[in-house]
Amino acid sequence: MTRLGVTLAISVLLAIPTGYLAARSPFARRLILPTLDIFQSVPIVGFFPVAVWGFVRLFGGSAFGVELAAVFLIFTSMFWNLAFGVYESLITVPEELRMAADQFGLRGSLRWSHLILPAVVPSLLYNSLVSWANGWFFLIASEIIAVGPARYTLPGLGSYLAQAVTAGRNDLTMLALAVLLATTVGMHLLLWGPLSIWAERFHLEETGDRPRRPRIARILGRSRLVRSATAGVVTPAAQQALRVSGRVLDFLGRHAAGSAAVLFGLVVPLLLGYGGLRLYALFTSRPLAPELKGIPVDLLFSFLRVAMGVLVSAAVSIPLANWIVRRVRWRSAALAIIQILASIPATAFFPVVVILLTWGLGMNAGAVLLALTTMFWYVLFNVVGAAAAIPKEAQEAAFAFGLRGPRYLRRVFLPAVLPSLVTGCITAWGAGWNALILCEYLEAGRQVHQVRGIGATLDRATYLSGDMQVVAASLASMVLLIILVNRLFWDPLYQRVAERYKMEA
Amino acid sequence: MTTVPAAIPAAADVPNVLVRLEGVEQFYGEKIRILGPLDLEVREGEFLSLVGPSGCGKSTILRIVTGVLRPSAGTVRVGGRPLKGVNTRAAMVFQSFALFPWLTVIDNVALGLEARGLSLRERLKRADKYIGLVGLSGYERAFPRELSRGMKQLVGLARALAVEPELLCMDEPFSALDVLTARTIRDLVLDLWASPEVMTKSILLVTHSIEEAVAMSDRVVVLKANPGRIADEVDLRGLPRPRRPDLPQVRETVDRMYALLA
Amino acid sequence: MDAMQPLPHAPIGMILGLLEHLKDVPGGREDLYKLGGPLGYELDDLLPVTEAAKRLGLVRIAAGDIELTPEGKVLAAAEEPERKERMSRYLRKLSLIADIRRAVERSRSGRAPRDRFLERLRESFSEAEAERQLSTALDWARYGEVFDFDPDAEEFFLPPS
Repeated sequence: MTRLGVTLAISVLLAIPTGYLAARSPFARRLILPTLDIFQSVPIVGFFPVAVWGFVRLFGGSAFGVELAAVFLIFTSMFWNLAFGVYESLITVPEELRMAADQFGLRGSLRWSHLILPAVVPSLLYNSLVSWANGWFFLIASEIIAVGPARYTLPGLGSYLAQAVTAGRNDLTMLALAVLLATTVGMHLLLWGPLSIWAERFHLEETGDRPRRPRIARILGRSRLVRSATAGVVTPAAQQALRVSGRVLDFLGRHAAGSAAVLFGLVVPLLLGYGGLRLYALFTSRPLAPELKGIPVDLLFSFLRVAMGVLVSAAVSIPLANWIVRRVRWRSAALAIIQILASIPATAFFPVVVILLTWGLGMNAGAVLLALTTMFWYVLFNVVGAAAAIPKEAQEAAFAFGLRGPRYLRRVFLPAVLPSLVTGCITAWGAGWNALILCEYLEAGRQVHQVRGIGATLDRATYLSGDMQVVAASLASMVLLIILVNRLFWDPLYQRVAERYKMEA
Repeated sequence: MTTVPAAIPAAADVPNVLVRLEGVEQFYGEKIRILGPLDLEVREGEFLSLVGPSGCGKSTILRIVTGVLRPSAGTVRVGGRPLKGVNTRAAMVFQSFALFPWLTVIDNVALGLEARGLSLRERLKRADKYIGLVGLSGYERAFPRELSRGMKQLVGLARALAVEPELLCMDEPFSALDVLTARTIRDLVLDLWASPEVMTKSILLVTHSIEEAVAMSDRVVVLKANPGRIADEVDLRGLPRPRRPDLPQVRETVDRMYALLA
Repeated sequence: MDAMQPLPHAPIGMILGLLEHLKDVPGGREDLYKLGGPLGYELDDLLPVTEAAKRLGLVRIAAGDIELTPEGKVLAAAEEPERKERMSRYLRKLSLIADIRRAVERSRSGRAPRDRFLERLRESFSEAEAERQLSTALDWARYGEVFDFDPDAEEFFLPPS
């Protein structure tokens, strides 16, 4: 877990200047934003083998290299969102506020601690929460994955879990899961909850007479424990952190910015160049592996699985969300629960699926099911959020006009939640690919379960044959497909939906 | 210069000029002239209003006076010397309040004092004083989102006064408020200006309301748009205070100014 | 004052503004309908304000007219801090504000959790309305310096005098 903490800290520290630069300088923006965009859509788990290989080479085959690779992997899952969030927060700061800051002499570290950092806190916190949850996923995933014929294992809950599953020890698996659950809940109570309460004051929207309570904060705020944690510990610590960060960032900004930019401008192209050369060498130095022929079909199968996952998630979420939202009392509790459930990595559900597999469930369905455990929550969370925001008058009007049941769903509910539904699906789509890489090839209880798919191909190449050509080709094709689908399908869809179905206040 | 025919204090000594704009021009991009060239003085001890239609650059002038915007051409003199950077002798009250939502009232009011190097105790003491002066005691620990708009503007006012500026600049400060609240705050501003507790010498108000300008000012500069430039200047020192809107003299002056603008 | 009568949701600034306006009108008396148009108010915004002023005993409403009571006249004419003191006295007559004040006075720490009052209000009102009641009460109480609120601990407390 310390790995997660450290990685998050590093990600946040790097994300702030990145987003800030993007917001301040148009030149930087043109470089940074597209980079963020592309890397955001890449499934990370696939790169772990490559990363491990690289870091291990750098550090002479030691465990440290593997640890670093894990950190790097988790970092890449967190960084893009955080940086993007920082950028978006900064460009939406109202002009008058900036002018007031100028007017009253807020420069240097004061400007950081009173204007810039406060403006980015809400998005940082939200993204950190999500990243933390994701981080668990990748942490456990990275602990499981191995490179080449030899198996590297990293000490941690993930390896424990994996070994328990592989050994078929259900009792140990349950124990590990319980520990995971307890940690998640504990973190929400003691850290995320109080932080959310503290962060409320940074929301920029004018809400008039009542302070806005984000739902999870409200539920958690009912507990005395959370409240005393907030007032006594978290708030003063956070405020102090703001001040200190302000000074640090200002110092860095003045002294380090120039050199950092130069470094970035030199190092990245060099790395890319080197990578390109190695790739070229990889494919030309020996005859192409036979597996490469199967890749397009593998891709197709996986694609179908992810698509099915998205469809199922959407189809179930819609009526489910409607049902949840109608029970007003349960609404806030439900959202909190969903958020917590979403933090449980899919890998924790492996054992359950394995059990189902031993009962005769086909691996195809098994893989989809596993992927679903990650994907479903994203969609549901978004849809419930949107459903809760449907103004009461719209509901009442629909009722008055006799729109009930399926007709209500189709005419009122669906259009209202469509933008959020699409957002959720996009996230689920990305998450689904990650999950598939893990799920299409499973070792459980001395048995190997696998299906035809790109994930399986990748896994086999990674675990069994160590054939880098296959690894590189599968990854590349997957990335290409994802980017294509994003650009040609999801982005235009979102644009259209957002315009037509925006709920005017 | 048009004057209101009434007794004007005779033989007034040449007043000190707090801020002077000389040949100031503002362009958008390279070609489009928004403002100027214009000359303007803000004199010590006066309440000066800038009125004009939208696009006449009155808010731009205010930004130039407070130093948050550097003019494309021309000089800005504060106390005789050319202004470099932000004008620390002026403070601004904004149209949509520009309060920091994550700071309590007292922290917002004390905002400008930290940059001026006051200690924490001094900052809080001063903030307390001005919060009391605008009538917001009791609300020190409230957050802006809990306040009505009138109260938010009072915080903005307290914040500006707390840095004890010699010139108070106000950018359409009442346009976002309801009629009653606006009236109350207008009266408050005039009371505070006259009070010995407040060291502000002059006030520069930008408004689109002629009634407001007539109700408050010693002098009104009327601006025209495209590009922004001074059309006329009206001396209202002869008009006795308080300037109730139903007084015939006031109504006459307002009518006359409307005619000017047409 | 009736125990569970809800507080009308009017910002304290508007209540004071109403008093100021009536102070300048001859006789301190005006047609109710006249308050709306010329002042640019919607009836929806105005009714809570007049209702609030009435509950505080500062105006009297009869036969379509609104008029300052003697207490109202004195308060409207008063300057700060006298105005605040007077208002504070009238505010403490309202049951919700009085209850909260009593609770913070009696507690050893000088603090009272907000939840307690929220639960009590939930018995008669919806959750949203209960929240609004507390917000309005707090807004008024802050003006009269009757009590203040700590959002982190979610407690009302006695302001340092």
